[in-house]
Amino acid sequence: MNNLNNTPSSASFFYPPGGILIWILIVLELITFGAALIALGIQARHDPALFHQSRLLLNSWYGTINTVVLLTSGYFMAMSVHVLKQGNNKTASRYLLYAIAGGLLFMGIKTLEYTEKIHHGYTIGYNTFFQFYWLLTLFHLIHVMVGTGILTGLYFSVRKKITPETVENTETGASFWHMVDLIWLLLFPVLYLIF
Amino acid sequence: MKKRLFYVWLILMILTIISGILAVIEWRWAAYIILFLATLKFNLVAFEFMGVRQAYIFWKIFVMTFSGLFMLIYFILLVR
Repeated sequence: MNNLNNTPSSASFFYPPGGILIWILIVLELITFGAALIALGIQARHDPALFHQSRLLLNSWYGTINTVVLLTSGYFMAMSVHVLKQGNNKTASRYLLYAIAGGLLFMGIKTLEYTEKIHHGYTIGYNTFFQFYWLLTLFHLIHVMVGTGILTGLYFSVRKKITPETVENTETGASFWHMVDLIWLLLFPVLYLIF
Repeated sequence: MKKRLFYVWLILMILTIISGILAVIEWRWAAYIILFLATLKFNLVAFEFMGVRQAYIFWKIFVMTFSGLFMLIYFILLVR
C-alpha cells in the first residue's frame, strides 16, 4: 500500500486540515451559529419561564440520539481519512459509507421530531423559543444534507481510484462534516438541555 | 492512531450520555456542567477528528478561544 499523505504540511498557517478555504467557511459558520445562540441566551434571560417550559416540550432523547449518530458518523469520517492516507481506498470507502449512513439517520430522526412538533402545533410562530429552535435546527439540517451529498460524491471518487487529489478532497470534505458536528455540539445543549 | 480515534469516540459517547442524564436532574449546577462537557466535546472533535492537533498554533488557539468564550458568555447569561 502506498502512503499518500503528501498533502501540504498541516503545520502551516495556510494549510489547516482540509485547506484554508474550508476553514474560512468554518470560522464564519461557527461565528454565525455562535452569535445566534448567544441571542437565544439573551432572550432566555428576559423570559426564563417561557424558555424552560418550551425546552421541556422538546424530546431530549431525539437530541441525544442524534448527537450519538452525528459523532459516530464523524468518527467513521476521521477513520476514512486516516486509512485513505495509508493508501487503502477500499476500507476508506467503506468508512465513508458508514459516515453517509449516519447523515441519513440524522435526517430521518430529525424528520420524525419535526413531524411530532408540527402535529402538536409547535411551529415557528408558536413562541420565541420555537422561532430559534426551527431556524437554527433547520439551518443545521441543510448543512447535514449538503454534507451528506459531499460525502456521497467523495465515496464514488474514493472507490474508483486513489490519488493525492482524492486524499486532499476527502480531507476537505471531512473538515466540512466535522464542522456540522461542531455546530450541533453547540446547538444540542443550548436547545435541548440547559434551560 | 486507529485506537486513539476509537478512544476519543468512546469518551464522546460517555460525555453525551452524562449530559443527557444531567439534563433530567434538578440540580443547580447541571446546566454549567452540561456546557462544560459540550466545550470539552467540541475541542475533542476539532483536535482529534478534524486534526487541529497537528495544525498551526493559530488554529488551535482559535478553536480553544471560540469554545471557551462561548462557554463563558453562556455561564454569564445563566447567572440569575
